[in-house]
Amino acid sequence: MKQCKKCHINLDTFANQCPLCNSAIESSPDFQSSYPMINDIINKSLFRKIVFFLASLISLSVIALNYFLTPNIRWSFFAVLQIFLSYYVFYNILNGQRKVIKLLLALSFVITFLSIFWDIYTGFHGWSTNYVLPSLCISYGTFMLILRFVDYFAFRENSSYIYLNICLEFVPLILVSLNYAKLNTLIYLAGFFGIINLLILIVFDGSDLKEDILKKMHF
Amino acid sequence: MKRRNWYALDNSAKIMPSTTTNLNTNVFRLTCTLNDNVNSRLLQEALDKTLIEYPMFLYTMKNGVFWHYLEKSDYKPLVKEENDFACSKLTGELLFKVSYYRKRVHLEVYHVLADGHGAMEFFTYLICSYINIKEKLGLDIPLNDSSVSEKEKDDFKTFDKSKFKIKIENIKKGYKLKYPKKDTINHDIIEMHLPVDQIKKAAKKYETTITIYLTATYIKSIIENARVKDLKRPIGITIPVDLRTIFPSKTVRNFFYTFLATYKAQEKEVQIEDIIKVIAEQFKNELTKENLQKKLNSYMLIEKVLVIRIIPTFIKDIALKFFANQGKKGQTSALSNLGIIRLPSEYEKYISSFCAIASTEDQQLTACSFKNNLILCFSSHFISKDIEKNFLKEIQKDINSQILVISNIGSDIK
Repeated sequence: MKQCKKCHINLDTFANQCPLCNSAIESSPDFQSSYPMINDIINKSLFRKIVFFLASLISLSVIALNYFLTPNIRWSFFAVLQIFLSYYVFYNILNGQRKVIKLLLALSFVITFLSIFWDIYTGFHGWSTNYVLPSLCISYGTFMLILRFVDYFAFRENSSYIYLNICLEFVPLILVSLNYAKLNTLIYLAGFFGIINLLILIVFDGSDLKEDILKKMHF
Repeated sequence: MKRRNWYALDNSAKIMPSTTTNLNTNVFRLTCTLNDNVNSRLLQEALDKTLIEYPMFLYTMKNGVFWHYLEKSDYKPLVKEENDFACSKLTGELLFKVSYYRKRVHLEVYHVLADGHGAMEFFTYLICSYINIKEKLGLDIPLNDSSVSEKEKDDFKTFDKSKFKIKIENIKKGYKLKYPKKDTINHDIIEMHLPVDQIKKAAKKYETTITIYLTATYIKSIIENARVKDLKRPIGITIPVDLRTIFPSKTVRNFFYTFLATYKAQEKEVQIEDIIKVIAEQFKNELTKENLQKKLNSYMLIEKVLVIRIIPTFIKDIALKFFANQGKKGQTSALSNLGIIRLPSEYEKYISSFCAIASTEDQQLTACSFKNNLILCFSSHFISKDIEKNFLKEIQKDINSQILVISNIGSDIK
């Protein structure tokens, strides 16, 4: 047992100084502390800072390239957004974030929004609403359908994102009715997936649906 | 046994997600030091048995549109060797964690799930199960007679008698501890192991209780470390009060009220007797059944106001954080006394001590006693430990024996 003669106490600590008065204490060779040695997290945050620095550096280079090479088309805005989106995903993974499904849905939303914005910015040719949006809805819907059979537990855990995705799958058809998109195979497929997922939800998860609404909306 | 799929957060828990930060994780740790090294396989077996009795611990927190809530989880908690700093943010799905290191078993709980009393009930059951399995005692685990539904009840609602009359209290701004903090987010822990009989004797000398004696000693050590011009503000120590001592509740969820004990120092040289006199008067006036009922009613009113209820969670969290900070205006620090842990003698002989550590934005003191061992734990982010040193010196005036101090300082590898 170590001792601090100044504080008149027995000590159990890894430090070579008394934690109270900072005076030097003698270490004993067979000392075993009650607390284990733990890696400090300074290194983790340093790594994160380096990646953020690199992301910022790349963004600045992209902006400079855009300004000097193609000043008329501001494509760097979207490139920079994409770089920081990638950093956001990396940051969450580094933080031990395991909500991959939530991240994927968030990414889908952002990509859709960016595509529509770019489409409008370049004179709205409709490719974002005709192709990008329904493709993302179909991809996400297929993923959720596969998840249901592969890992039902994870599927139930992310039920709110399923409901959100089902609503999203009908958006292309709504856009067609408002003349912002043209009917094509992808939009038909997106609507079809929406109907299938909705049917599966009602038939197999109907009782859970009521409980899910209650817990999400309780006030 | 069928469990409810979800339930709403209790009144105290509703504010926790918005006030959780990297520094103050709202996680507290209970530690039991056994006489022998821990066997992880048997500890896992004991945990599995304990969770049958306390299934309300197997819940995870989710975001609702208007409030956060707890949802049943099928994750199986695994016992692991201690590999993270005390009271770190819980990164897993569940809101608690069981770990061990050498002779110590730790239970870390996110405050949304349970308070100190509830967590200690779970923890003592776990420890007794472990001892029962390890030593092949074949004894009954000491239990209370409550059912699972009684344990998971939100007793803030049970004892609520609020009417629509919100009274906004004007809290005077208290002295704030503003010392340089470490550059890492882990807490510095200093445990002081004191003999209960000598502390009791010291408290008796001042004709007071142990809690008041410790509160007064803490206030005195803060005053001794403060600048004279800062003493124009009162020192405020927040003390959680277990409402189960007044209301007949068997819940393990949060059921406590926070009482602010304040002392305004006229000068740096203070006598502990003067502080004790002031604090004892506040305890006497504040901790009556009528007063606690009024406080419970006022807590519950906030979650009944329709305008507050229909605000979306992400906005509500910002507002709750603001109101929580306003509520802490008068607070300098906190002292949480978990009281005396009592177990049947057949189990006690295998256990050395119990202690508790709470996470904090600045500094906090927790107290817990078992057999003749009172353990005071300071958790702090400050570089300076002068308050702890002053506290120890004050206590040593009344203690004859050599005090053991255990600390995690120096255990972080950079």
